[in-house]
Amino acid sequence: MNPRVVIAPFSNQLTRNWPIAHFRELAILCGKQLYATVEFVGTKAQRHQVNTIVRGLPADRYFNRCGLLSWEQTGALIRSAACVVSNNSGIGHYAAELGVPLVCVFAATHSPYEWIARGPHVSVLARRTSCSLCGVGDRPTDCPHDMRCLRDITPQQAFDEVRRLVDAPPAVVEIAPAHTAALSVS
Amino acid sequence: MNVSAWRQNVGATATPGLTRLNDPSFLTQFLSGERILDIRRTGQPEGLGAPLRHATRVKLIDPSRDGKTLPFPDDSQDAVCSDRMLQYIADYRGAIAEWFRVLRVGGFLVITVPHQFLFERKLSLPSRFNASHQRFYTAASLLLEIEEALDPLSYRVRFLEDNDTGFDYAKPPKHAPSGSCELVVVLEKLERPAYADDVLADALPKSMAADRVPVLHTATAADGPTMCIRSAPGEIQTLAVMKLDHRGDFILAKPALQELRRRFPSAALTLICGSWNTADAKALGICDEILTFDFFSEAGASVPSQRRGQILRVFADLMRGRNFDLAVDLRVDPDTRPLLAEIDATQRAGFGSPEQHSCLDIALPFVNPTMTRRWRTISFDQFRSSVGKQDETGIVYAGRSYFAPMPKRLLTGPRIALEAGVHIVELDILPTREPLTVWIDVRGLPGSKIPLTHFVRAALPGSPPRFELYLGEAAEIAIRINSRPFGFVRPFSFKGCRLFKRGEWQGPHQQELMYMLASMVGLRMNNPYKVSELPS
Repeated sequence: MNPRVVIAPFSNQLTRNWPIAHFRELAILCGKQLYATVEFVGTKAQRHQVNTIVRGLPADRYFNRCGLLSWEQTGALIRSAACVVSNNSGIGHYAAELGVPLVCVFAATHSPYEWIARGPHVSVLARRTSCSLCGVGDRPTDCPHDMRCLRDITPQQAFDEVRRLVDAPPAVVEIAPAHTAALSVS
Repeated sequence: MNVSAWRQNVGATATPGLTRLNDPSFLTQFLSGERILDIRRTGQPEGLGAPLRHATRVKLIDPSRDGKTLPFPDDSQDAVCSDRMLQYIADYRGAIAEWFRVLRVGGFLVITVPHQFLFERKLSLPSRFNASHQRFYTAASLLLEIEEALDPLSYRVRFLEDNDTGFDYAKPPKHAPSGSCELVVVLEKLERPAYADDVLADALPKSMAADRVPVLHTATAADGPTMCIRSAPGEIQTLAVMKLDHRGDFILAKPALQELRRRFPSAALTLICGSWNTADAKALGICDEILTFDFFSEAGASVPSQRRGQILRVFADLMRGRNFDLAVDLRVDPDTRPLLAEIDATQRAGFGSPEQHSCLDIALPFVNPTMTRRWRTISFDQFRSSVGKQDETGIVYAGRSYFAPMPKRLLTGPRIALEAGVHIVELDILPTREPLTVWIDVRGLPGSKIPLTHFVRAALPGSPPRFELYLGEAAEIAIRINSRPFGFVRPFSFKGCRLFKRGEWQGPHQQELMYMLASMVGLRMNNPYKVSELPS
């Protein structure tokens, strides 16, 4: 069965978003090398941007779900995924919490140590530049370096992490029972 | 497949019926050119379809696979008509894009599909009447597919209709519909405007930073490595917890100790505590092993610094041969962190920052409510100066150095209301040539008409002169800065002064701090990670 890769190309700050062109390149790599079906999630307003990704890619392999799914349906889609790719965003935290393998692309505007998605199968890619943790706000145009911290994380690097996680399906995560063992005290 | 092979499937047909494709005015408006492509499905009955007598009929052998490779050049057709085809095609994006490709600018792409609530009258697949239908359509869903397939700056929608001409709304859904039940859309191909590429450009435009001045940033962003932070799950099997301080501290640490046990239920837990706390530790019932180590004395909180090296060696001996997956130091003050560093552990956790304590893998920096100081600034523009000149950034004396046997008043500060307590006054004064010693006098001290005086030396940036001011009660004081008696008046710059006072701030309690560290360690070890650098 072909793996399903869910890509969430947006966050609530433009300065956290990996370039759309990189997401497209990553999606193509997933399709060609993993024979994956790729599903894009986002809001209705983000459909047009994802259309620029899926345009020209086969409609039976690449799906623009932006604006079409409820949060619950998005959760169901994520659960079914072999891997999720996101920015530093809510979808990333959701996937990590569900234990779904996640590749998360971080802008240097934020510290991954502070905001890393918490889960058992998470890979964060973050480029350290001399201006890291700059605190640039919402507008990428406020960055004098054209968001190099994001641009320089390559689709191939992200794909390598996707492939690593897809090739190594996660073990079942068990919640440990409460401590009940009799204890010996020396 | 070449054109001649495709043309084998070309033919003429005339289909009476209620489809819009039988409407002469519709045909005249949208399907009246010389080169019209009529795309239909292999096996589509000859009796159905549009009366496009002069059209090139293309039958797609397998529409789900081949619908996107038309053997015609770009911009070669006056009109393209796809009548009830799209619902069979899995790759609708490729098909629509291909139909659009062969259309000339100004030409029309006519697409009809069965309407979900006229033909199917059903919410979801499968189709009632044709198992090959892959999607249901409404105007909205058809337009979504078109928007996915086509550059939005390359076409306009010229016609959109739910065609229910003659439709029998009395017929229940299980019966095949009668009358027209189609959805029709017509697109006109446009010349792409010159700005189209800009509109569709990346969400992060490359060039817009050029016309703004960087404020917060360096001029270049030197390359650093791409880090990869990967989950690295691992079970904590051996856990060392250190709580070396006194009886009260140990009592306050109990919730944190219990939390660590709850977080790591199957780990072998070694507790290291002062000998006076052994009984309490046993009573707690969560430890697999208790080691005693009297880093402090039972009644004293400080350890003489000359003994520390020796104590560390003894502790290192105690820990020799032991290793742990995780070691946690629950003492809030930093003096036991060197002991933590002596424990052979994969992960070490404690209070403070990694800058302060390089041994910490899990560090909980915090604001100490006792040691925190509230501060305020008195700006230079509230001072008067008889020797210096004030500009936008401060008061500057740029004159010559000279000897003054009597103190020369350099700066006179405003009256400041201060509460009782110990205040630290820090002067932001910097000599611009030789080091400068100034004589401070503070007026307005309670119960005294004599000013408190200090001599302070200003020499280096980053270490401003400071002095303490003890006020037994609230007072309104004034600070004056003079040259010292029988001293030199030397050039200086002055930006103001800062006053600090220890604040009684209702911050976190020690018990809460320890519990926070225990919880933090638990959460971190739920999802541990490893950091590596990717090859560039």
